Amino acid sequence: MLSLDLLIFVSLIYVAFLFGVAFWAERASDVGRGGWMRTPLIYTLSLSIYCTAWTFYGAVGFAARSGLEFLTIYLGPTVVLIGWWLILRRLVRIARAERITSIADLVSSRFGKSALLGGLVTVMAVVGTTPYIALQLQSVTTSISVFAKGTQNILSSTNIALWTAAGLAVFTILFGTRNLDVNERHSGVVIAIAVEAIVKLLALLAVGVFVVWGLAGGAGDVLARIDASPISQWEVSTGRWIGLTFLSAAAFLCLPRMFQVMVVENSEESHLATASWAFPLYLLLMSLFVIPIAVVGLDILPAGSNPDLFVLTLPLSAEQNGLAMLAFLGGFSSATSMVIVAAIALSTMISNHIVTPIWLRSRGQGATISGDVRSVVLTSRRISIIVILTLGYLYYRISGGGAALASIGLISFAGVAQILPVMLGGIFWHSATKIGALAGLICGLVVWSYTMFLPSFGPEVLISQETIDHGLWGLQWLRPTALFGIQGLDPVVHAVLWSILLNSFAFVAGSILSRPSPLERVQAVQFISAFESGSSARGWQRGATDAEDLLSMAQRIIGAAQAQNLFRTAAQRQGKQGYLPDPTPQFLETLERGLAGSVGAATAHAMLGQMVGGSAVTVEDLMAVADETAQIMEYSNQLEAKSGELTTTARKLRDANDKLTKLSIQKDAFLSQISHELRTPMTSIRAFSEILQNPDLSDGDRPKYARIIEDETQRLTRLLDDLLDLSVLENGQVSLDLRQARLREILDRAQASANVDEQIRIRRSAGREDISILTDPDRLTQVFINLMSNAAKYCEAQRPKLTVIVTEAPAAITVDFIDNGAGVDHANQDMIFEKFSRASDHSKAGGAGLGLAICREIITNLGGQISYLPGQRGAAFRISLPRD
Amino acid sequence: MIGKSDQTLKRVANAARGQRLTDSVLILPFVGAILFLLPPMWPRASEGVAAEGTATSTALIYLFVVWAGLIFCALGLALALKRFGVGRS
Repeated sequence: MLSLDLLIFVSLIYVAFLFGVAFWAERASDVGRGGWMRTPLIYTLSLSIYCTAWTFYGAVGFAARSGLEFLTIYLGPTVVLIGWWLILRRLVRIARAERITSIADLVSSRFGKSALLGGLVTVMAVVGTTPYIALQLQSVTTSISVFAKGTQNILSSTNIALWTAAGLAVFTILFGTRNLDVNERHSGVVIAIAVEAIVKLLALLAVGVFVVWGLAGGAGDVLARIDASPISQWEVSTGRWIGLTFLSAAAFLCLPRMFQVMVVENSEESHLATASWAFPLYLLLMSLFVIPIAVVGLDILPAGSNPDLFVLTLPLSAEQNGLAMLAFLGGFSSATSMVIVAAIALSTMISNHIVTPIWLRSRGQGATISGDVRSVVLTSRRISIIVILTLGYLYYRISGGGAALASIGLISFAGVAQILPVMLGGIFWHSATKIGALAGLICGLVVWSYTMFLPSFGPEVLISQETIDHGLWGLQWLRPTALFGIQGLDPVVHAVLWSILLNSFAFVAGSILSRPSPLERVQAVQFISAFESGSSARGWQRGATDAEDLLSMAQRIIGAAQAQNLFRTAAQRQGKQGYLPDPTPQFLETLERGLAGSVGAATAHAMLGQMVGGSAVTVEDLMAVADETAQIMEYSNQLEAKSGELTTTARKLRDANDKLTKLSIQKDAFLSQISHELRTPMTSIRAFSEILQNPDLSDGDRPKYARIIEDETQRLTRLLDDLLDLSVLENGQVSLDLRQARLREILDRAQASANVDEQIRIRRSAGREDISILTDPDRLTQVFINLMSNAAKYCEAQRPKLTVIVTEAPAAITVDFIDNGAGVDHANQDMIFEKFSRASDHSKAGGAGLGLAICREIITNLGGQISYLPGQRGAAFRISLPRD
Repeated sequence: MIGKSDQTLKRVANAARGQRLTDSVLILPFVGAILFLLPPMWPRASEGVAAEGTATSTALIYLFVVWAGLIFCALGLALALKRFGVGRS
């Protein structure tokens, strides 16, 4: 048997070695030789703090109790890492851009740099992590007690836990709060953790190899032993399998320590690509021998042995003291690395989100900040570390260290998983608001406490047996293990299901029902379009503040050298010498992010706000960051509408131009026509007048020539009358003699006056024409006469025929004049109603081409319409007259 | 001119390959999740009749093979992303 003294001696040497490594790494990093520390390999190894003592000892115990179910704890993170492109890459990008220092900072920063949210997430993280730290202390204690068995027990288990906690506090304070790094990266701690990662992996693999090939007879034998073991059958419940896989994936993203190493300590995005396969490989190797160790342990060790300790007790039972020592160091590494990182992450959160905001507030709203902020922050972190470890120790004492490791771990996982909905909503959902986030987090915290955390202390400690059995206030549907009366679920699945469901529901409902503040909107765009836009929103206006005041404040927060560096770089970028740049919005933005790296976004924002005089997110800022796609869509819609409008206008203009051109041609034609029309009678009048003056003229010819002169004069008069008539009609000066008249009578009169019955047969349907209308009968007759004589003139059919159809509609009466001639060709249809237009050659027409123009004017004046009706096999005109 | 159009073609081909790669990276976790969630649906031993159920050893081998397969795919994709410089900021 290994002596306890030797064990403690080796442990102390190991601890001293870790201190040395951490110290050396810090030194190397300080003098700029730390490049190799920023490699994907170190990054992947630092992620291994996910594998705590729970993995190292607890996984075997878990497997011995419930078979393969333990794998869910590693499958969840595997899926998350393999899907790094979706979530982790985004988180890292956001954290880089916004100088995020912790998961509380992420949530706070996203929701308008809210100090309240940051504080709440911090409290949740502390509450959720405390059981986990207790678990590590418990594992160290129980593992030491294995070696202490049978010897004089000089160290009680509580003593061991106390000393372990104290030692861890010292290490964490020394290397975790040495400085206020702008990016919160801790080279020493990271390297020490990487070393511990290798130690624990090697230890577990060594034990596994020894068990498989030393104790058992190789892989085949182990498989046979599995089939013969109590866990030979697949008996995992579906609910637990899915629930635990989800839970581990959620916790992997939300555990403060995982966020610290995975997002905050990440120095390059490309490291994620390597970790996406390398860390699942690490997890696979860590769990490869878990089942064999459990099965062989159940087989070889006496019944009733604690399966959580098989990793130690198997080598011990085979007298392999060296291997047992290595296994102990592996377990010790697992426990300590987790506690160190968790304490750093939590202390950062506590100092940035609880202590500093309270301290700032207690200082009042003075424009400048006096005193050394750095020392306040650092001191608060150191005290926080001590407080966190004390809390873990107290939880260990209160819970009695009796529960199985796995169940404590799950409580912790479920607690921090409550941050998941808010976190994912924050980085993917624009409408998530601070109110929603608060509602979701509080709801999740309450449900988780009630269904999982409080009952975990056992009945009558924090929650009474009465409440557990019959629900709060005796309400059955409020029983902590059967909320809303749903029974039969596994307690863990039950708690996770309800807490996450109600949490998400409250988050979504709260977000929908509330309006985000301007700063929240700006941050939402920053977070969600982390990949799309390189531009950042300007949260600051050019303040009235003095750059010197800003420098003195920055020096107190991030240290003199770093602050001066920041200011000088900014001044150089502005093209200025020295340390004092102009306080432009861009510079204030840079400065705020620099400060946020040390004290968190909310505090940095508040501090700068005090100096500059309040942050000012203007409507213009919001417009600037408003969704670009929406803007482009809007612009494109406008362009499209405008383009459509222009096309229509262009078409109209083209039509108008065509018409104008035609009209111009027509006018020329008219001028030549009118001169011709006027000249022809004038010429004959003059000629015959001259003849009449001839005295030799016979008496018989004189009256003949005089009649010709008279006819020609009448023709001239008619032409002038028509022109006058048209002009009167066009100017709207005509006075209409409106009265009731029967359409048939008007048509009869027109037919009689037109006197064309010899040239064309007119068909009418007398029955339909018996309609009374209010109109000017004389004018209407004129129109009908015109149409009839037109038909007689132009219809070239062998048996010319004109059909007059009267149709009565509720609103109008239409009269169609359809002949059986050739009709008007398409090109002329537009023009026939214009003045002096004649479709065919002039000689036949015998008029001046004013008839249809006059018709149109009359009908228009009567309130109706006349139009050419195409597609009737002949010329067809439709007159619509209004009824009354 | 020919050189220019060649470059354009190359750029288009690169963009298409980048899209294929990122699509594969996005789809992989879902494939993994589905494969990991299959075992609970396998038959279980009822009334102590072991032959009807699924042996732990079978499930163990299945899960580790799927796990290793996923790691292998993730490795391949990570190398391809690095080789073609996809997603570099």
